[in-house]
Amino acid sequence: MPVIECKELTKSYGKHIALNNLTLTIEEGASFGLLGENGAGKSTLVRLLMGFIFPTSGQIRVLGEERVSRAHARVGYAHERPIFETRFSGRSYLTYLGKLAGLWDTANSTRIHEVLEQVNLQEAADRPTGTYSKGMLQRLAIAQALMTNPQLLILDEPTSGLDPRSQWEIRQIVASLRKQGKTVLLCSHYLAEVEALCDTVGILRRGELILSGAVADLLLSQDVVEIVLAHDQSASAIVARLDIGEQVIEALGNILRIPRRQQSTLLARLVDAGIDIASLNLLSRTLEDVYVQTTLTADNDVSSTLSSGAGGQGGKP
Amino acid sequence: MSMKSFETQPTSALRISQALKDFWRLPSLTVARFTLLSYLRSGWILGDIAIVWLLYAAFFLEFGGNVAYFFGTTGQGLGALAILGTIVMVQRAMSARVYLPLSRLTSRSAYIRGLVIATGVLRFPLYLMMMLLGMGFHTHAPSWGIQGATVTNMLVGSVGLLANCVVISTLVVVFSAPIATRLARIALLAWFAAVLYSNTSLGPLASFLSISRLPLIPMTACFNFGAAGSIGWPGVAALLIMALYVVGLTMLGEYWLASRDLILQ
Repeated sequence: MPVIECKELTKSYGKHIALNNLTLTIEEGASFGLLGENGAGKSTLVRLLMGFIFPTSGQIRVLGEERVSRAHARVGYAHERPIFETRFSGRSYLTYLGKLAGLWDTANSTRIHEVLEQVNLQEAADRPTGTYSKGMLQRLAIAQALMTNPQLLILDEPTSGLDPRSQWEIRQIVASLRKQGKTVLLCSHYLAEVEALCDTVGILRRGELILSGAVADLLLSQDVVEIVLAHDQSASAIVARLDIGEQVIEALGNILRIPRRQQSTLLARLVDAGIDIASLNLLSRTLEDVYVQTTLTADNDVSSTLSSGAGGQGGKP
Repeated sequence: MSMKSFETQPTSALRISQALKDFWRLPSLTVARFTLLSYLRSGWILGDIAIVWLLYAAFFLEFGGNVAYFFGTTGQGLGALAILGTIVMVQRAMSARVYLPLSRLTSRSAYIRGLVIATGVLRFPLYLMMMLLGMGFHTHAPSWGIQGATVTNMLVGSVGLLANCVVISTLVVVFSAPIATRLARIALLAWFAAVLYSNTSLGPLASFLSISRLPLIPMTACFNFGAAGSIGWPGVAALLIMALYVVGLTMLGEYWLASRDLILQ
């Protein structure tokens, strides 16, 4: 069952298009990482999902609700820069938010005890939040998101600006939530974090979803096989001879780099052509490689579109 | 029969108790309580108290005065304080910290109702403080009390004054950013300008613009309760219209906030 469904979703502020024709589905139990640089549209998407802003066009559905605020009781949300009342303790703020969610008396205090334990914040619970470190504030933000034991968690850059230890602590919490089967939407700049915590990712670039899919598939699709040719044969000469330039990533000296998915086809061509191969190496890619490759390709596409457009207008020969 | 009534009594009491509990637990009242508590703990309340004290020092410590003087001066002073205090309270409540409470509510209406209640309720203790100070010691003979004050005229005057302050604070909540649009705020200011011009100038334009003062008739009636010493049927009608103002303005604020993109820092 889809937990989040966006269909041709567009959000613009005047002439600026923050999110353009986004279609996205996140299934129940998935852990979805949303990647993108600053201004890519991540926060806009999160605000739309939480009903803080409204779409310019397109459809959005959260936990089956078209009016997304109706799903609030089943959604936990942690803002990228959690702002709490500095003169209130973490416990009293959680009490307030719990009451707003309909948790009163024992139900409220019991749940607060549970979530504070979950984020390891029991000892500081009665201190004013003004005395909390950034990491503690983020943990409190996650604690409040968990108050209603939600089906869906939307975490907007939960480790942004934290020291390595605090980042690790937050990741442990998110990992434990994943184990509990919660659906998680994690916005982050940290690719290694998303690779470790998410099973599916989407990359936003200038308001457009330029890539999405299972992390394992994306990594596999980006894996590269390095073929070292025997007898110092020239890789570029062989590429030209066999006319396989489009399938090859790089030909350098006696080394050919090809996508892993092309491995069997290209190896068969090389063997058929009687080319000796000294060795084969698998170069595993990280999510960072996928991200960089995808965004660079998107940039090149944009530049080539722009230059072809300029050529057309300017009468380039 | 007697057995039956005996059995139903606790049930009715329980129902009332449950209804009161449900009322107390309304999200709008929860927001109102928290907003007030936050305002108290932030220290801004000290500013309100200081202004009330200054009003007393400026207008009552030296001069004393009668009931009409008390309600005339206090009505304007506390009206201005309602504007200032409400602006501060709403600006604090409508920053990026609103995202977390809103993520717990199924509609934004409860939040704005909470703000209206909080800002309105705060008028009561501030007025009480002003009244106690005004009735207290001053250097003008007789050395204490308000001349001509009776329980009736003080009570009647208090009702009118508080009604005005609550309407003012509601108006400020509803026309604050980000609830009202810039255009709505400009329209409100234009209306104020028309009211002031028609009230202070002569000529055909001023006479024409005097229609802008029509909505203020109930407020003027409430303002005069203290001096008149009675409410009467026209006063009751004025109070009812004032209550409708509060409800209508709150509904307008709910409508505006429900359709606004909230991008707060």
